[in-house]
Order: sequence, then C-alpha cells, then structure tokens
Amino acid sequence: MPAPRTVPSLLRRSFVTAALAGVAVGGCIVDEVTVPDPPATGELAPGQTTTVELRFLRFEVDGFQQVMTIDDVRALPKKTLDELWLLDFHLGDTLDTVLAQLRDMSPSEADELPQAAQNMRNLLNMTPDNASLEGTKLEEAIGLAGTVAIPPAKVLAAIPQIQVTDNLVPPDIVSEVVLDLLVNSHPTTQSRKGPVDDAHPDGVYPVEPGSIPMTLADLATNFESLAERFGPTPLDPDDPMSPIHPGFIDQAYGISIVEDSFEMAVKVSVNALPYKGVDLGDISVASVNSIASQVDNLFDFDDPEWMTVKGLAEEMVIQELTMSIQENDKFVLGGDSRDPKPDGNSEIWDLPPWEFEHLIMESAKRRTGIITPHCDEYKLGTDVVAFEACIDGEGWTELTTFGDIGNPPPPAYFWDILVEVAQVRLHDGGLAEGEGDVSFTLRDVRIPIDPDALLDQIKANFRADPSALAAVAERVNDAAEGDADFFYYQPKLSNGLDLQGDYLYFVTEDDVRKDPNTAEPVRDYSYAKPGFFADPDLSDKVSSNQLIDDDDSHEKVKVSPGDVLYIEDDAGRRFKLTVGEKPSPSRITLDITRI
Amino acid sequence: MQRNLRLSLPLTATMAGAFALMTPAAAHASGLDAPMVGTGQSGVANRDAAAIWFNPAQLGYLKKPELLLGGGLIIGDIRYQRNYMGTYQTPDSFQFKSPIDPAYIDSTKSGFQDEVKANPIAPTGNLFFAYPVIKDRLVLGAGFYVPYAAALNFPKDGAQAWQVQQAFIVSSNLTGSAAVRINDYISLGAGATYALGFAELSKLQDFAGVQEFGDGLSNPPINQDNSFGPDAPSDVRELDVLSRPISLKRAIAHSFTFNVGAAINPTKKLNIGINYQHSTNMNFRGRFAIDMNDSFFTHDLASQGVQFKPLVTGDALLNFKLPKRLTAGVGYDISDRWRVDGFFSYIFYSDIEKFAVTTSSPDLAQPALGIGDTLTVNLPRNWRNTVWVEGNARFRATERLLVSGTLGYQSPASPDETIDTASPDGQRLIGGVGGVLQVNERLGLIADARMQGILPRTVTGSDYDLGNGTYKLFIAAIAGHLRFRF
Repeated sequence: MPAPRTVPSLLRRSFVTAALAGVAVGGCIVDEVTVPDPPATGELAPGQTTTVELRFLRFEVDGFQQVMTIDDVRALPKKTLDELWLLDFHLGDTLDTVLAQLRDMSPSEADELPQAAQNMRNLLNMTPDNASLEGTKLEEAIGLAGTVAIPPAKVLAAIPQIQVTDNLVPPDIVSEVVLDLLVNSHPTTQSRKGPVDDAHPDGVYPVEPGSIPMTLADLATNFESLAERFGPTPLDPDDPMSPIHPGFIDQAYGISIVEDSFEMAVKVSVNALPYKGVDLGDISVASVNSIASQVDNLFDFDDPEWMTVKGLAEEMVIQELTMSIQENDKFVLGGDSRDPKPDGNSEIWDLPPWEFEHLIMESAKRRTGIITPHCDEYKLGTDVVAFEACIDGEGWTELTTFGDIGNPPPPAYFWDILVEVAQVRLHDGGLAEGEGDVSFTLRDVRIPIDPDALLDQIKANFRADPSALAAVAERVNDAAEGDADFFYYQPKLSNGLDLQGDYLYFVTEDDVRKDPNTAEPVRDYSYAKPGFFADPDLSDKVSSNQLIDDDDSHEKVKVSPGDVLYIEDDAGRRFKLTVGEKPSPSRITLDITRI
Repeated sequence: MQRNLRLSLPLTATMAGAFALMTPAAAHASGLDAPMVGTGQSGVANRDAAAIWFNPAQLGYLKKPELLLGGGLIIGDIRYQRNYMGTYQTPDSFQFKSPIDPAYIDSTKSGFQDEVKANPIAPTGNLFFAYPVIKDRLVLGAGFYVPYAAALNFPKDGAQAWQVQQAFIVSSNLTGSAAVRINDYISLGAGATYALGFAELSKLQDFAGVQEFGDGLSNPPINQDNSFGPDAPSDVRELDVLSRPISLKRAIAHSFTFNVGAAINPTKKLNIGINYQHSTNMNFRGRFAIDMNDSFFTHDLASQGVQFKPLVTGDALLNFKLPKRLTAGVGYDISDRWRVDGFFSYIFYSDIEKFAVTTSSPDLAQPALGIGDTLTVNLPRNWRNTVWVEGNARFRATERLLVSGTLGYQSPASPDETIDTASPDGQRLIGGVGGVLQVNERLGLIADARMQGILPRTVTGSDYDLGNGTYKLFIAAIAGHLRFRF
C-alpha cells in the first residue's frame, strides 16, 4: 500500500511535472545504464552452434608486492600450507637446549618428572663422582680403589681422562647421537614431498640429516602437527607389517618462531589477470589462473628485496614439549669381547637405532673415541703398583691387578662398561626392565635462532624451486572461475612478429581450478586427447608444446579468422571451433559447434 | 533589448566508481540555453510582463494587468568532429604507465574522426502575469518560465562519448516580483525566484582520469606506479576496460535566488534599464548508475580487493553555481515608428572553476584499497567571464503591426583547455526577427524567430587532448505568445 502523499510532496511533484512540461525534450531521453543479463549457457546439443568472444588483457604488474600477515597465512588452505616447504630446520641447537634444560632442571622440578625421566636426567648429569657402579662391570673396581686408598671416582675419571666432576658423556655427544640415531632414523626426517620434476620423478626429496622439514603450515599452526609427524610412524608406510618407529615427540604445544607482526612479502612481476577461456561443458567463458604458467619469471631474484620477511623471532619459544626415548624391554648386556671389531659383541648394536640402549652405546663409543691410549697405575703405600687401568686405541679397557688385592673386572670396550652403568641407572627407583621408557616434558623452552640465516635459507630454497611459492601466490591471487577446457593467449609483444598473434591453449593439469578451501583440484584432469586437431576424428593434431613466453607445457595453436579446429573435452564431447573475425586486436570470436 | 539571458547550465555527470570514479562532464549551456525567454519584444529596457525575468523594475510602468502566455519550439544542430592529437594505446590493451611501449600504440587513433551531431527538438513555454495593485505606484508580478534548457543526444559510440552521450537539463523558475514606480523617471523592482532544476545525462566514464583509481593502483596492495588521474596523458586514456557507461538520472535541484533592477527614463524617448541577477547555487541530487560489468572490476582482481557489483548505483550530488550577471540596456524611440534598443551583459563565469560531484553508495566502497562509499570528484572548468551584447531595431509598420530585428554576440566562457561537447561554446552570433500583431486593445499576438550559432571553433589546445576538434552549433527557436492586457 503506497504511503500517503503529503501536501508539500504533492506540490513538489506538481511543480516538477509542470517544469518538465515546460520543456519536454523531443527525442532526447537519457537512457538508464543497465547491465545485460549474462549470456545463456548450457550444454550444446549435437549440431548446435554458439558464438563466444574472448579477450586477452595484460595487466603487467612489476614488483607487485604480495604481503601475507600471519593471519593471511593461516587462512590459506591446509594443502597449500603443508606443501610449501620452507627449509630443513636443523635440530642440533634445539636438542642441545632441550637436553640442557632437562639436565639443569632443579631438583624440585625434577621430582615432578616420571621416574624414568628422572633417571635420564641423572644419566645426563652422571660424572665419575656421582656415578653408581653397583651392579655393573666396574663394581669390582670399587674394592680395588679401596686398596690403594683413593676414591673409585678417580679411577673412573682417569679412564676417559676427565675430572671427577665432569660429565662422563658430554651433552654435545648425547645431542649428536640423539640426532643421528633417533631423529635421523625417523621416516619423516628422511624425506619430504615436493613437486615432481625430472630430478625428482616421484616427488620425494631428501631432508638434511639432523633436520626436520619445516613448512608454512608449521609457521601458521605453531608446529601443531609436530607430534603427529614425529610420533610413532611406520618405517614403510606402504607396508602394513612395517616396524614402527616410536618417534621422539609425544606432544608439542605453542611452538613459535614468528611474532604477531609476522609479514611475508614477495614481489612478483606478472600478468595479474586470468586467462579467458571456454568451458565446453556449458559453453561459458571461464577464467584460468595465470600464475602457474608464469612461474619461471614470477620473481626477480636479482632484486635483494624480492622476498622480505618481518617478524621472524630471534628465539624459538616452546611452551610445552614432551620428548620420548624408548628402551628395550630386556636388559641387554654390554659386550665382553674385542670381536667383532670395531664394536665388540654386545647385542645392543643389533637393537633399533632409536632405542635407549643403542643411543647410550653409541654415545659411549663416541666418548671413547676421544680418549687417547694410556695406562694409569695405582700404587700401594709401599709404592708397589697394586693395579693398573689401561685403555688402548680401540677403546679396549683392561684393569690388571698385581698381588693379592682382589679380582679386576673383566676387560671390555669402555662403551660396554658405560652402557651397563647407564642401563642400571635408568632403572633406579625400582623400575623394572621395560619400564624405563623415557618421556619428559619441558616448558617454556627458548632456543636462540638466527632469523637472518633462516630467511637466507628460505630464500635460497625458494629460488631453487619457485614453483612452491608460486602455489601460494596462486592461492593469494586466486582468479580462477569456471572450468575452461582451453583459453585464449597472446604472446608478449617483445616476441618476434612470427610468434605474435592469437593462440588457443589447451589447459594442463596445473590449470585446473583449485577449491579455495582445500586447494585441491575441483575436477580430475581426464582429457583423453588434449590438444587441437585438424579433423573431427582427432587424428591430425595441429597444436604443439611450442615454447612461447617460457611456457612449453601447454598444447597451443596459432589461429586466424577462418581457421577450423577440433577439440574434445574432459567428458569426451567433441567440438568444432571456427575462428571468426576479430572484433578488436585483443579479442577473438569463436563459433563452437558440437559434433 | 535582451532576448535571453545568457546562461550556463552546467550539468555535471560524474560518478564515482571503482577506485575513484567519475569525472564530471559538464553541459555548459552557453550553446544550450533556452534561446528565448519571453518574447522578442521583451528586454531589460522594455516594458512587459516578462520583465519579471529581464528587469522587474520595468513592471512599474505597466498601467494595466498583463498576461503573457507563450510556447515555442527549439531546434538545434550541434556538431563535433573530434581530432585526436595525442598518442593513444590500443583501446583493448591495458598499459597504465606512460610512456607506453610503442608496440601498444594505436597508430590509427589519430586525426579527425567521424563527425557526430545532435539535433535536439524541444517545445518550450512560459507564463508571466503582472498586476498593478496601486495605480502608478506598485505592480506585482509572477512568472513561470524556463530560462535554461539543454538537450543533447549524441551517438553512444561516437568519439565524444567520454565527454557526453546524452544530456537533458532544464531549470524552471517560479518568480514573484514587485516594482515600485518612484516617478516618471525612476522605477525600482525586485524578484525572488524559486528555481527547480532537473538533470540527466550519460557518458563514458574514463577511469583513467580519476585520481582515486590511480591511487588505488599505486597504493598497497597493488603498488603499481601509474599515470592515471586528472592529469593522465592521452596514451593511458580511453581504454576499453576503463571506459564505463554511467548515467545520472532524476537529479533535481531546488534553489532560491533573486534579481533587482532599476528603470530610468531620462526623457520620454530614452529608457535605461539595469538588472542584477544573483547567482544561483544548484545542488542536483539524483541517482547514478555505472556499468562495472567487466571481469576486470567484478572478478579478476577480487583477491586484491577490487570487486564491484556489475551495476553500481547510488546517490549523486552535482553542485555548481549559476553565475551572477549584470545587465544594462538602453532603448530609444527615434520616431513614432522606429525604436532601437540593446543591452550589454557581463557574466561572472570565472566564478566557476570546477564542478563538484559527490557520489555515494555502499557498493562503491573498496576497503582494501582505501576507498570509501563516498567520493567527491572535481571537474576543472576554469571558465572566463563573458560579455553578451545585443541590438534591436523595431519598426511599427502599421497601427497594429510591429516588426523587429535582432543582432547580437556572446563571447565564449569555455577556454580551449576545458571545452568539450558537454559545453559547446564559441564566438556566438545571434540574429532574430519578430513581430507583434495587436488584434485589439487587449490582445496582442507575438511571433518570434531567433537563431544563434557559433563560428566553427577548432580547438587544438585541449588539456590532455580531451576536447580537441571542431565545434559547430546552431540553434533556432520559434515562439508565439498571446498578450492580454486587461
């Protein structure tokens, strides 16, 4: 029901009417600007023809800066985040810090740890002075030391040539061994997925030893998938019977190397507009994202500012991290034979590299490796040598007694001796064999990092493989619409005249539109006969992968008015394309007939 | 005798759009004024009811009530042949930083283009009534008339399309006047006018000339140095993708103004009239619509924050000021049969430096580019003050029949730098003939024919090559009036 008119309104309307009546315009009514309805689309029936017009427009942006805040990054599809490898992040410093924090934990904090973790901490802190040799091969050395009235700790310290308060196994060696055996044996630290290319036909790339592959997803999610990726994992994911690597991270929370002000910016030089093509399914004009096809020239690596990152932190902050090391269920003895050289005969060497016993054995061996051959004599008060302890260049350690002062422990490699000490200590507190799996949680760990070095490494990696970053640029500049089967292209005018003109490009797999939420292709690339043909039977291909503007991935054909081509779409429908007269230099028309 | 006050009816059509939008286009009506108000016998120094418009003081000498009612037809012939003197790139390309790579230069876009023309035909009419309320002392009057009108209908795809495609402007005045006859020698008068304006127009809006569009490209996140803006050189202008059809519809302005005048009769044969017409501030409020239906604007750069609806509509405000003017005229009765009269007007068009257009629509806003929902765009005009002189000779052939002839001249307001087809302008010559048949003591029939045209004006100094070319204008008006004296 219309609103009642007020008197002023009526007066105004009357006057307007009168005014217009005063000067009515003959033949000059200003047309309303309207927008026509979109052209009708729909599947063509056999024999039916329709005409489409395509435009090629270059919007050549130079140094176009695409900036992503941490929120922008987080908004990217998970697939894109997961697939954008930044660098292999070396865990050396991280492990050093984590183990140091465990080692240096205050007694009161340590009391909160599980018994096995407490024992692990004790092992890291084990010195000749605090080592308990009871129950080990060296137990008998305690008595020998007593005969010469010197502390057993001195005997123990003399063998590895350290002071009694020095760590029997230095932390750096422990850290190094954990990296080499525990971390490096994990499948996820050995390889990562990357783009398929000639050098990597399976898309598998090696990871730097001692490192974990870091992706954009790690930055975006504060490494939330760390436990999943570096927890228990089959050694061979394709084999259901494959042994399981127990992993080394049980939980990880709040790990960050970026600040809230994080901002990653890349400069790209690119035609920012999508290519216009035709979806033969419904004969609609579609847009094909143009970023992927320009990847080779996307970035100017000579420009030091081609990529900038702000907000990389100077230390990695780990709010909470739980690491674990699994022990073997059995007590495995150290060896007692020189053979087989160079390791000896302990069964520990046959255990999986990630098991605690193996880690300790390897640590002890590496510690032994820095001991120079020597003998230490221990004399009675009469200046008579009571016993001597010798270690040779292979680490074989032998205590020899003189006179009737007792039995020396049996000879063994020094690592065989140490591993027993460690195994026994790991079960202090009444832990039975099999209960010594070490798991410890650390909080608020801060690990210094060098953001510049990190950025340099990231930039170097992107430079080596810009396609990964281009995928992000493609997502950020997602202009795809519809599902084109082919598109219209004009080479750059910097090409020779023989190359310039109008081309039709058949889409490649990379051109398939991606779901904006998942970054997954929205359809299969299921073309039986990609390309353009001269005959309806598609036996005479006229398109080729000719190199134009650094692109040789697309089947392409140069067209002129009057040309006739044949094409098949991904549903097996065949069409005849007749090139019409050009409406303007950067436009073409096509008569499309389903055959 | 003053025929039609030389008026400017600036019509600005501008719309703001994407990154900035509309550049106003003005239909300065120096050539598009309603060429006749009142009759050919009306004027600043003449006495009839149309003095309500020309010089209200002359009402003071009307001894009887008078009704002047008339209608007419206006026929125009406006031609423009654009001369591309600048360098242009191929219209369907998109190079945005001058100088353009020679490979993109359109060598065919040069020189004179096809001539375009508009032939408006419009009826017109007016009504004046004067009534002496105190004999020989006070006369009141009221008038409804159309002092300004413009109508253009150029081809939509002509070379002038970026200036104007269609335009229709009319301003109707409703005036109440009063005149006081001091004595036989002096009369004073004044009028108060309510002006109602109505405007519509359409054109191609060239985004290349819009500062906000250039800023949108140069600012983050796009960061592309470009040559767009009001000073854009020709080689980045008139690109297909940036040429968006735009219309201003149903724009209505309400305004008030006044005029004051004096009539002096030193002798019985010599009449002098002076009239001051105050300026009129016109605020046309209407609706704009702009066709943004190009994937460049609607889709392709959406991820960078550029995404318009295919059709953006909203409110538009066009503001300009009709200039004040001062007119002086003189008439002299040479004999019982002959009379000569004329006037001189000085019009302060230099008041008009620009037209301001404000558009607002939620659909204009592009927050990622820093563009809000309201934009104000100025169109430089930098007009000059003008003069207008006319002379008339009147001959009373018989007791009942009077004939007259007119010659006149108007100087142009638009300088070469800013002229365009929205305000065709030039050295204008005016001529007219008229006659009065006094049927009886009360009724007179008045007929007039009036023509005006500019000398073909060839412009080569248009800023940014926007309006170079040759302008031609011819307007003829025929009108008939009935004059009743009670």
